[in-house]
Parts: sequence; structure tokens; C-alpha cells
Amino acid sequence: MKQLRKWFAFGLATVVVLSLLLASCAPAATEVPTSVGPVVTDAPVVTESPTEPPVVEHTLTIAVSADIAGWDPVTSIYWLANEVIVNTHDTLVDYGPKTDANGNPVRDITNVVPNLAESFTDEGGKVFTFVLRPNAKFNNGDPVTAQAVKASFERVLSIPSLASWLLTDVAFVKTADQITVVDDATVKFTLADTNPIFLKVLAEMNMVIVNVAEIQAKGGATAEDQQKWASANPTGSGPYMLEKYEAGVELVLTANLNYWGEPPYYSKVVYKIVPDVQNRLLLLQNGDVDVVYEPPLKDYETLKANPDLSVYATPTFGTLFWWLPFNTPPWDKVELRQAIAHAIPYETIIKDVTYGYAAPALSWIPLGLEGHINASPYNYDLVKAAELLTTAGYPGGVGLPTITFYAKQGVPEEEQVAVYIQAELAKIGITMEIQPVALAAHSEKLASHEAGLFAFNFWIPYVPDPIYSEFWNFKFSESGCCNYGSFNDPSVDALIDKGLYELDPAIRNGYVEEVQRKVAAFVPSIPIYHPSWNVAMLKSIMGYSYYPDTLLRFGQLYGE
Amino acid sequence: MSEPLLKVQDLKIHFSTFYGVAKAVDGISFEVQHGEALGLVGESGSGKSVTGMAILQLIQPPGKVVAGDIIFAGKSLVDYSEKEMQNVRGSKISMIFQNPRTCLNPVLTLGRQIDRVYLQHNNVTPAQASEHRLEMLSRVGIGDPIRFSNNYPHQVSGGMCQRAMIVMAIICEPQLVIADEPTTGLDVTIQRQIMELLAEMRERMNETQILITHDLGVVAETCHRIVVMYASRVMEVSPTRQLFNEPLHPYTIGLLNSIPRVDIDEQPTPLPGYVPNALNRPSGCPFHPRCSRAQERCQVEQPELVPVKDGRSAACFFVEK
Amino acid sequence: MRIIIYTLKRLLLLIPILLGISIITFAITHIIPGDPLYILLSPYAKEDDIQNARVELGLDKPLYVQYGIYLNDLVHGDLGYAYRTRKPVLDDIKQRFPATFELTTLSLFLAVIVGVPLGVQAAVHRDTWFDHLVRIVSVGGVSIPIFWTGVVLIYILYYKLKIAPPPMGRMGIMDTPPDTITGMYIMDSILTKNWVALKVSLKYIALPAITLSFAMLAPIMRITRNSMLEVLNSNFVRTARSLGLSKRTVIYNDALRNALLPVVTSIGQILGWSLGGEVLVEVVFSWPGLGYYAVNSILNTDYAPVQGFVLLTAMIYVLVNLAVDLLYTVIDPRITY
Repeated sequence: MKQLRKWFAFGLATVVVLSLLLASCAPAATEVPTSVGPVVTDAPVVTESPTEPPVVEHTLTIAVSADIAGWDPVTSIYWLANEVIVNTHDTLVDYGPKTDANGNPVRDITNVVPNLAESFTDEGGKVFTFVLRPNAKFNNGDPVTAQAVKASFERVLSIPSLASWLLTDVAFVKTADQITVVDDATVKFTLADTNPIFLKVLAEMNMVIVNVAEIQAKGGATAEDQQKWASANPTGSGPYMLEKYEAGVELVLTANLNYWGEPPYYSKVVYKIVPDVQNRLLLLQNGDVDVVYEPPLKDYETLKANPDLSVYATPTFGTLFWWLPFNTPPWDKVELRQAIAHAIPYETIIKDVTYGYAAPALSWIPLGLEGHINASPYNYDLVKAAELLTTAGYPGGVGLPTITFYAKQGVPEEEQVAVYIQAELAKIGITMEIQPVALAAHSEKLASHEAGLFAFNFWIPYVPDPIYSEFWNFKFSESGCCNYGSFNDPSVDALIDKGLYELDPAIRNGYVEEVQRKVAAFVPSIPIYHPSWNVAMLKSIMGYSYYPDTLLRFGQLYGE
Repeated sequence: MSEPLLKVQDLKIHFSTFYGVAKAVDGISFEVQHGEALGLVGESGSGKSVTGMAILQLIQPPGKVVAGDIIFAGKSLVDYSEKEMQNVRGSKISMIFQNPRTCLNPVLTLGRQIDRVYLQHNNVTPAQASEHRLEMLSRVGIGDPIRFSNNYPHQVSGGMCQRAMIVMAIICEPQLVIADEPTTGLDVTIQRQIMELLAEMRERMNETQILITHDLGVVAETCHRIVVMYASRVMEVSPTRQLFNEPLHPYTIGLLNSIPRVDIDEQPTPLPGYVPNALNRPSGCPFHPRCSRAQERCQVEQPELVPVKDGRSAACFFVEK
Repeated sequence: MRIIIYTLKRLLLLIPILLGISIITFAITHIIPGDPLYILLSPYAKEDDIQNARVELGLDKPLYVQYGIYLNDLVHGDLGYAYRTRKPVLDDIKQRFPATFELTTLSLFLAVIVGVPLGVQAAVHRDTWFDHLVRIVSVGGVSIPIFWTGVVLIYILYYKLKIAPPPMGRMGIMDTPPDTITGMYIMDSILTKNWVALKVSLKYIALPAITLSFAMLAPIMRITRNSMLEVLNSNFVRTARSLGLSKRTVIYNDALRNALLPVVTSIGQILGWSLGGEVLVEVVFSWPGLGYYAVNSILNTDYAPVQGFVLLTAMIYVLVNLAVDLLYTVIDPRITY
């Protein structure tokens, strides 16, 4: 009797634990694809077709820190998702390869070449005609037709996003009427005005061609459902297809056998989520992974010394901007912003924080883009900074409020830079407190252009063009990207607007230079430095080439 | 006279504590004859319980037997290994403790606790052990042994617990049973039953018993001989009748005067003073601070336990030989 | 039976607990700064688009209305949608929970089978060199950060000696996991008799489990030791010894069984507490568990997964404690409900 009671209680305890287990696990065994939930594993698996002779499998493994899903090119915001997009989709045009002055393999941004479009013509910088490749297919087998290309751009226009503004405001494709289907293989864009960078915009990753027919067929009834489906299911025509995505674990791309170009050497690309940075390096050094992005700069020399590794540090067009409040008193006094710009120890920061892997920012447009001039008069000069404070009516910083600086959590370099700046500002009598905030809160503060905001924004122009950069950063805007201080100068806006349609490079460069000079005088933001983009990979991997958007194109890589 | 079953010779047990060495037992000697019931009497702290534990070689650190010998059935237990002692405990010598409820394992049934003792010392099957247990339980007066066996200690009364413990102690029919205050913590009515049971078991199973108690009344009825201990030493050893009729040692006399008696119409007179602290025993005779007959010699010289007459002995300079 | 009624009562109590927790997490996640729409749309979104999306998703409604909708979904088994992974939260949890459960149970199992005997021996050999050694290990387990233990183990065993597999999660890239039944690789491998997968999953789980169990070991050892010391001085242990029972029997059958109660209680607490350590172990070993998932969701201000995680954790905590309470009645017959 007593014995029985005991076993009963024990059994009950076991049942409680087991039921808990089963309740959470059992349904996982029968994971039924639903139309509501995006099912990533549904992607067609062509590689397993028995009639195909087995190809030699080469797998490329990349250790990355974290993953955020979302493979809709129109709404994608996360760089890893962007990389998946550029490898599973195609842009109509691309940049040709070249080698830069330091011998790094990079893209020639002056040389736009055909890609998904077999050829293109440019009539007066206003009418562009693209002839599509006859053998181009989406990875579900549908042919890439002129109608499909038009539908893809129409989709961009229909979803309010960074991509749609890019198309309407920068590329001058305001409505779908401007895109005409000439025949099944030919599509024509008639722009609202002349546009010198239209082709560069089309080479940008947001402008890849998606299979709208497939999205509409599989995505569900409402636009919202279709958007949800599209963000989980890439539908492009690129060299790779998404085979498997297990959030937080791995993401697997397999070669698209329908691909119109050369089949890629690596038939499989695996992203492995390895949150700990030191582990990523250990895995690379032991050869268990092939590629690691952005290794910590302090470990850079060690990695370079390793004979088994290739380490690429390529200068970028990216800039770390410090946005200052343009309209909030007392910081609306230009002398105060100039004083701050003189108080920043630029060289020390590059030396200590980036270990030298960054270029000094001499202007608001980086060296390498057309029209760049050494516009910034702001060197590290505390005497001058103090003088400017006095001019502004705040000698020794007396009477100035404390600056609250918002540091993005999880980006240690930015916080380190802030600490250096904090120390220097203290010397001229300005106190700054650093307040870490979560990524989303940081984004909100930036996007809403919060009054009195002091925050960093790292800007990298996916379209490598100075007017493009100036359009986003210095044209007046009360919210959104990326004029976070709400800098407002009508003459600057006019120059940018003219630059957007000016075809003559000399005149255009004149505008670019003028904008830099004006911005330098107003200091709505301070460029801190231009970082390099760093990739470490096994020496046996060849074919790496740096793109202005930093994303790797796996189709170009091959093994020894 | 035949060889005694147990001989304790000049036993010394010390406890080293933070405050110094406590001499819990300081050179005691006594003998127990076959079939005898010996009372070991003294106030609390006199060292009687420690002596009981020492016989089973169960003194735990920081306590230690520092000198002396314990000879059981002709063999010195002091020389035994732990393994050999395990075979003696419960099988040849066993012990019954006070507060029986706390002395039983609360998470095992009474039946199981009894059986495992029997199984430990006898080469029998669990079924045989169970059968034997039921028989023994009936013998100690348990009405429904099967139901009793399935109970846990908290489900039965203190008296029943003590019966279970008595069964555990005697189930292997040991030659010597040491009962350490077996009735403490029990109801008065139960106390008597337990004492009667112990006496009955001794006769029926031909046991030798040592009864450790502070209660002279208890030993008066059950024991043949009495060893009186005080402050770690033996004061007097006498057959029961003689001890009560004609106590030799001043301490025994004081002890007897301090208990109420039905036969004599006199008020009991408690002993003055307290038992000295074990860490700081008085010099000379340990009883001298409380002794009415104490003289200067008693403070310096320690009287030995010496035979007096009729097989009695005492440790006092003033007892007539 | 009384015990069934007791269990049912305790399970019923889960409802108000979960309700309360859902209110708290809902309130907290909706009050903390950081609009998830900026993650959902993009940090570059314009104010109008944010407003449109807010109306579309019902985020403009009063909080109590939003909570009502959330609760209604919850009752129907819908934990919401995770924007970071673009999947329903329930799917994510189903996928990750087995990994966490497997790691935690194995670590706890290791910690118990090592910690309890060590604690027992430390108590038996009190104040000897062994006891001191156990104390040092125990202090180490508490004071050495779990992150550090993991990193050192990886550096030595994986990077230098190349004995351990790479810290890349539950299996290597080329390994095939067993067919899914419970989602726990070890269990599934055994159930499907897939010995290759069993070997691989054991290999991969070894280091994380050792790391986590090292931290769990300390409290188990300490509590076992202290509890044992108390019980070893008790009267019934003296009785058992006086009856000639072997030392083993006395220590394990008499003393340990009685000393177990506080140990079992502590295990319930350790399970709750180990969640923090769990997250770190998951990060260090790229273990695709719930803890890291939750932390990532918090960092990305993804509400629904955080709420789902907290609810699940609370439920587990309550159930584990119920299981512990039921276990009491097995260990100690004096306890009844």
C-alpha cells in the first residue's frame, strides 16, 4: 500500500516532466507546412534529381555572428540577408573587375557591365533599353522575361521603402508607366529626366529581379501575406538557391542548376551561426570554417602572419558620421559644432580603435568617389576649439548643457570612439555622457530625428556615387534616412537636385564640391573615419573581389 | 568464577575540543559476567553513555580511546579492525538508545530496518528474514506484525518504536545488549512495559545486559550489580541489594538520599553543587568539592577503585576495607 | 487520491501565474523604449510609413486592447510572429526547446552524479585534504565565469589538442541529424537506433554539458555536503552503525536518503537559475537553444518571442517545482499532501 503510493507519486512526477517535454516537442515531428507561416525548406531542391550526374561537391563554410531573416530585396535591412539576396538573385547590370592601387581585387565602379541583361543601350541618359538573356531562368524554372522584370520593378514601387524612394527620387522611375515591355526579351525604361547614375542604381542589391508571379501564386491572398512569404522565400534567378534556413543555427545555399551563367565552383555555401567572435577565429585557424567576416582588428596581425589564411582589408566608401543637432539650441550655433569638430582626436582614434585599418575622413565624401575634395578644415586642435567656444559665447564651455550621446549596444568600436571624444570634450569644458541603447531604440532615435540627438551612423553608399550620398545625408528631411540632424540649407538641396540629373561630369563634380564646402561650413555631422572592410579566408579560396556594398559573391569564388 | 563476558580495563576516552581536552572517561574498569544484568549509573555527563559507545568501538572524532582495553569473550575489541567490528556490532553486541523515534531511519519502513540487520549478519534469504522478523515482533508483543512492518517510524508511537529497536538489537541473538536510557522520551506507563520486556528478553534469550541510566529506581528492579560513575570515573561497584542497603561511597550515599523513597518516611536531600565540567575536572578525588567527608588528601590524591568486601569495590580513602 | 487532487490544484494554479506573467511581460515589452517597427521596416523608414505599419499591425490601439488580442491568440496556441526569424514564435520555440532541454538535463545529470557523491565523500571525510579539494572546486564552480570555463575548454581541447569537435552547435556541417521524434538528438538517435548520430551528438554535447555542469556542480556539492554532515550526526545513523551495517549502507542508505531533500530542492532552484549560465554556454558553443534566441530577440526588440520565452520559462519553473514537490513524497514518507 505504502509502496504503491510512493511509486504513484514518482510516476506522477515523471508524467509532469514528460508531458512538459512532449507538449513542446511532439508537434515538431510533424511539421506541416502552412500557408501562413513561411516555410523556408519548401524551396525546390533540384540538386537531388536522380537524372543529374553527381557533381563534385565543394562546400564553402562561413562563420557569422548572428542572423536576421528577411530575403525580400525591397525590405531587407540586414547585411547577411543582403548577401543571401545578391547570391540568390541577379541585378540587370553589374560592375566589371579591376585591381586597386594597393593590389586588392575590387570592382571598377566606372565600368557597368551586363549581367542578367545580356546587353543594354543608353540613349541620352534618359532612355535605357535592356535585352535579357534568352537562357535566364528563375530558380523555380520560370523564364526571366521582360514582363517579369517590369513586374519586379512595379513591386518595388508598390512597397514604401528605401528601395522605392531610391527608384522614384534618385533613379527617376516615378511610375510603372515608365517601364515598357518592348518584346518578351526587351524592357525599356524612360526616365522622368536625364540621369547619370541610373545604371549604378540598377546594380544595387535592392534592384534585383524577383519572380512576382511565384510570390503571388504561393504567398497567399493579401499583400501583407505575400510580403511575409517573400521575406522568407527568395525567388530570384541567381547562382544560388536557399536550401535550408534554421534560424540561429545555419543557412544553406545550394548551386542553382538552372543558372544562366557559369555554374559556381562551390555547390554549397553554409553560413554557420557562431556568436562568439574568438570561436570564429579558432574555427578558421583550425580550418573548420572557410571564411570569417570582420575579424577583430586587434587580431589582424596574427591572422595575417598565418600562412594558411588570406586576409583582405579593403578601403571602403563607408563613413562613420557623428550627427549633431542642427536645430536644437544651443547647438544650433555653428561655432559650437565647429568647436566640437576641432576637439576630436582623429588620428588617435584611427590608431587606437581601428588599429590603423581606416582612412582619415578629409571630407563628407570619401576619397575615391568623384568630386571628392579635402573639404574638412577640422583637424584636432583644442586651442581653436576653445576659441570657437568663446566666439559662440560659451568660454570654457560654461553654460553649455551636458551632451547625451547614444551608443548602439553591441558595437564596441563606436563606444570606444565615443570614449575618446568624451575625454577631449572634457578638456574644453564640454561634458558628455555616454548612454548605451538597444539597437531598435537607437534606430528609432535616428529615424525620428529626435531633437538634440548626438549619435553615430555608419553610412555605406550601396550606390557608389557622391550625389547619391549627398542626397541621403544632406538633403533636408524631417525623418527617415539619413540626414539625422535635419540639416536644412535650400542652396545645398538645390545643388543636390541639379546633380541628380546633370550628365556633364565636370559640372556635376562642381556641384559635389560645392555641397562639401557648404556642409563643411555648417557641420551638421562630423565624418570620423572611413573604415576598411575585412575578410579572412583560407588561402585555398581564390577569386575574392570586393564590392562597394561589401557583400561576397560566392559564384566568383573557386578553390585551388 | 568463570571468565567474565566483558572486561573494561583502565579505559580512557578523550575528546579534543577547541577549548581543550575533555576527559570523558578517565580510567575506568569493570566486568560483566555471563547472563548478568549490570547497571551503569551516574548523572548526565558522567561518561556512562560514552563508555557504552566505546564498547562498540563507535567513538567518533574528535573523541578517541586513548588508553585501556575492552575484552569481549576473551578477545580485545580495541585491536579489531573496522571490518571485524562490523561483524560484532548488532550480531554479538548491540545497543538500544534513548528517544527511539529519532533513532530510527525516518525514510525506511520498520520492517525493512529490522530485516536489513538480520540479513547483514546471517546468510538468509529476504523471505526468511521477513518470516523471522514477524516471529520476533510477535514475541515483543506487537499485535499485527505485518501491518506494523509496513509502517514508517513517524506512523507509530514512541513505545512501538522502542519495541522495533529492541527487535533490531536482539534479532541476531547477541550475547551482550547495552541499553542506554531505553525509557527516556517515553510515557511513564510505557516505560514500565519496556523495562519488563527487556528483562523478559534477557531471560528468554540468555542475554547479558548493561543498562545505562541515571535513574537508580530503574536499576534497583532489574539489575544484579551496579557500577556507579561520577565525573568520568567509577566510584563504586556493588551488587544491587548491598548497594541500596549499605552504600559505601559518599557519592552513592548522596545519590540514594536524593531520591524519594516509599519505604522510608524522609524528605529527599539533593546533593549540593554541580557535576564538574569535563574540561576542568577537580584534582584528586573528583567528588571532593561536593563531599561532606572530604579532607585535604582528597584534593591532591586520586583514590583508586579497590575491592572492599563481598565482591564490592569503591574509590574512596574513607571506606573501610 | 489526495495526491492527484493536489497535483491538479497546483496545475490549476498555473493559469493565474501564466496570466500574471503574460500581463507583466506584455507591459514591460511594450513600455521599454525602441519601436520594433524600425526593426521591422528599416532604420531608414520615413515617419509616414511607420505610421501606416503601426495602424496595419494594430499597434496604434490602446495597450489593453492589444493585450486582449494577444491573450486571445495565446489561448488559441498562437504565440505571435517573430520578425527576426520570420517564423511563428511557436515554431521557433519548438525547434530550440529540445536543444536547451537536452543540454540542461544532461548537464544536471552530470552535475548530480558527480556532485552528490563528491559532496557525500567530503562530508564523510570532513576536514581532510579531500574535503578541502572539494571546497576549492566548489568555490571555483561558483566564482569562475561559465563563459571563461567554456572558452578555456574550447581553446585547449578543440584548438590546441584537437580532441573536441568544433564549437559549432549540435552537429558538424557534414553530419546528418537523426530523424525528429522529440527533437533531442541523443534521445532521437537512440529511438531510431541511429548509432552514428548518437556518437556525433554525444561528441558535440560533451563540452557544453561539462561547462554548464561545472557551474551546477558547486551548489549541489555544497548542499549535499552540509546536509550530509547534519544527517551523519543524527541518532539514526548512530543506530545503523551500532547494528553493524556496512559503512556503505549507512552512508548511502541511511544518511544520503535523508540528506537528499535539500539537494532535490536545490536542483529545482538550480534549474531556474541555470538559465543565465545556459545563455552563455549557448553563445560560447554556438548551441542553438532558447536562451540565446531570447537574448537575441531582446536585443532586436522583437516582442513576441520574448513573451513566449518568458511564459514557457515560467511554466517550466512551476512544473519543475511541482515535480520536485512530488518527488519529496517519494524520498520522505513523512511528507504528504
